[in-house]
Amino acid sequence: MTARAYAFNSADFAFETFANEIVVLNVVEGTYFAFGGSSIDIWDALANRRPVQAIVDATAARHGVPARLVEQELSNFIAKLAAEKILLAAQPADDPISLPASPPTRGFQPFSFEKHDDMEDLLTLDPIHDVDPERGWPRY
Amino acid sequence: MAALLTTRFVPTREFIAGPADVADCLYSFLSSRGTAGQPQHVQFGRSVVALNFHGFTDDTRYDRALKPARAPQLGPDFTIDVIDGAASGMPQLKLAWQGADFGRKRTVPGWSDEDRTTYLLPEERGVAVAEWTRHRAAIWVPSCDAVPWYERAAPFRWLFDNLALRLRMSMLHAAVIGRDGVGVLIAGRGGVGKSTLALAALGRGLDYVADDYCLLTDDACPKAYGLYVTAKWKKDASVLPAWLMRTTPDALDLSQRKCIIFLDVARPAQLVAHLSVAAIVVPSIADVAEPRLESLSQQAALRSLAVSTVAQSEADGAALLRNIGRLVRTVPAYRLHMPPDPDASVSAIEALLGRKISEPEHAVRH
Repeated sequence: MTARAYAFNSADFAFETFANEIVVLNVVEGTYFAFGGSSIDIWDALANRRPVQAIVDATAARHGVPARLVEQELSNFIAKLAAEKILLAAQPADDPISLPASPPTRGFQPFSFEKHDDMEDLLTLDPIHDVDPERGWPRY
Repeated sequence: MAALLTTRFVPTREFIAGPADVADCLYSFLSSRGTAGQPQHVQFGRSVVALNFHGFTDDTRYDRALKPARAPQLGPDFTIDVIDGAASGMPQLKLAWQGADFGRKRTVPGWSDEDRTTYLLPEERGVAVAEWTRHRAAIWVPSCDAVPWYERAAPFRWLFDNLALRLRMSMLHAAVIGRDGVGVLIAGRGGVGKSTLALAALGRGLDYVADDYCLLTDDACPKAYGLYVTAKWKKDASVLPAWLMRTTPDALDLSQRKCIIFLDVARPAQLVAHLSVAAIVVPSIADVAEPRLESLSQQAALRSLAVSTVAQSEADGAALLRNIGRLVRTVPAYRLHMPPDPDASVSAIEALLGRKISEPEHAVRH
């Protein structure tokens, strides 16, 4: 896990951070995601190529919980984000974003992950796969 | 006009290689053709857009739903030329684009860059190129008959998405109503009751900016501008404001079974240019006897407004999300639990507006 790091896929997604939730929107497909729990505290660092092991160590120390617990939560969380291509594997940052160092205002909370795809039907156009080579115009 | 109709345009190359060449081709044709007559200046938020229709007649051009510019003598911020291919003598261009060039929307990513955006208009089988630094766009459609009704009811929305961001506005999927210069933005995906609530408010005498799409400024005190003078409702809607049941629509969108009315004729006094946004309201039809407003979190408001806006927008989704994020942090949001009678729900909006108008900080804003 030591060398692993990830970058936010800003080509396809955008996000906004609130006090108790992160909203991520797939700007291409219309799906959106909501993350909660202690994922809010580590999001900036995770999405900006801070090594995963460093996030685990810092979070465990800050909350006084076993690193194994954080590692398990974070691994599951990253697996979902990677599957949705919200995070892409990347080289660790040379100057990574710091994690919150102040004493936490609440205990370590499981990372929640929700996916909503009820807006996909708003995309009115079907994908175009080929073009008529004679007419130079898409087939649909 | 008769002489112009005999002009035949012959592209110099069989296949056009990219967006710059499409633009060259369209504007070369327009140069060879001469002027289209006096451009129509329409209001676009704080800006003015000039429209030139080439080959269209007064009956076939499709700018009726746009608002005439309040100060047409001012130079336009952007110019749109629309070409009726059949009437103008410009055949369909052969374009060297490939399947991989297209995305899920009208924008053709493979044929777009920072300065130019190419659009495929699938229903019309048309093509358009916007040249942002030259403040202009050219649209080719095979004929005026190819322009669908939804485009006539809300013209150029796909183009205006990007133009709005470049003019420091955001085009949002939301209705806007209010009074005394103060408004609420009604958000939510199609079918939740946005238009119905906006039209019910219109029937109760409130000011009206939009029933579906509005332009939001990025000021510290955001304003919502109306873009279209049309209002739409489903022909077979099970719930309608009372006044609409007595209203004969001006037009019918056969494809979507939507009735269309021009409010600059039907309700000119209530059609206002803009309102300051004091709150976001997300309607939801509920099993309640009386309408009830419930506070909504910033993130829930963001989702209600951003997801349907971004899903339908051709503009940069990240920039839109940022702007909407700023809005939801600036004004409060509410869920409106609506009883089946939409007219009854307007009282909740009126009460909310009454509070907002009387708030001291709001008085300072205006």
